[in-house]
Amino acid sequence: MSYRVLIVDDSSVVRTMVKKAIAMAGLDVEQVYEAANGLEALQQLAANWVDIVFTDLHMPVMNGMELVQAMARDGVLATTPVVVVSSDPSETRAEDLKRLGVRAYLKKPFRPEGFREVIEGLLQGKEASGAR
Amino acid sequence: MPAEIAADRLAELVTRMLEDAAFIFTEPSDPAPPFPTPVLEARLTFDGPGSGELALTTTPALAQGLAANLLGLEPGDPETGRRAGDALGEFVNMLAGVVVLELFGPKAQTRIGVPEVRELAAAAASLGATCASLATEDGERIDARVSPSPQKAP
Repeated sequence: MSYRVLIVDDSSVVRTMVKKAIAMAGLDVEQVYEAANGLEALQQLAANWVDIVFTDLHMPVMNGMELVQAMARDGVLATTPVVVVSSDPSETRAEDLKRLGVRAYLKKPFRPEGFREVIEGLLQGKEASGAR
Repeated sequence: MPAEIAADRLAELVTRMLEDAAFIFTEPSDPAPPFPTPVLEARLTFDGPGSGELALTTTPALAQGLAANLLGLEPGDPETGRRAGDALGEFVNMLAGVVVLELFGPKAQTRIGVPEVRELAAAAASLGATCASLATEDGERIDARVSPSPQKAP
């Protein structure tokens, strides 16, 4: 099974790093979408089916926390797994994000193996639950 | 809580982050090799129980090395020159995560600002800041400095 992922970060360097890490993790990725902030991400999600979202927290226009909240309010998007990729070290914020439905938190700098573990764990669970 | 860190600890954090994130190896440098002109500077502010600014100043060559290694480009690829500033900005962002953790611990509510990158004719002075100077084997220098904001009166 191949997957469609959305990478949300205002830094094109980070979007490239995440794409590279996903490729190096050996995952079967059919399509990678990109967005520079939460608002662009919602537009991408409205136009495309996405299996998993990787998002930064600190972005202009709409930040990662606001994106997660918007997705949680949407009947369809609420089931799409979200992984936060951030250098923010606050455990308190990580706990807040989990309460909002964020499924995993990858700290920068990240390694491809970290992506592999997270993606496999999340998407196997999704397949088992019958979602696409 | 003042945003203060010892210079040798700051040097350790920068060294480890350069190795882990970009496979670039540096050592503390005293005396530091002179900076060429221009230099690249990336800086951001942070807030928590205290606040301040974290800045990195380095040579264009080291910033291009960062871009190559972060993005998986070949050294000498023209793209490394175009993305050197963005790579340095992202590196200061990653470094801020460990510096803020060191300063305030994992339980603190903290905020890391958006990096600003600029080219300078000469490295900025570091009055009132903790500064660590490192250099690669090739003599490419990178300085990190943490400047605490003045404490507000109670």
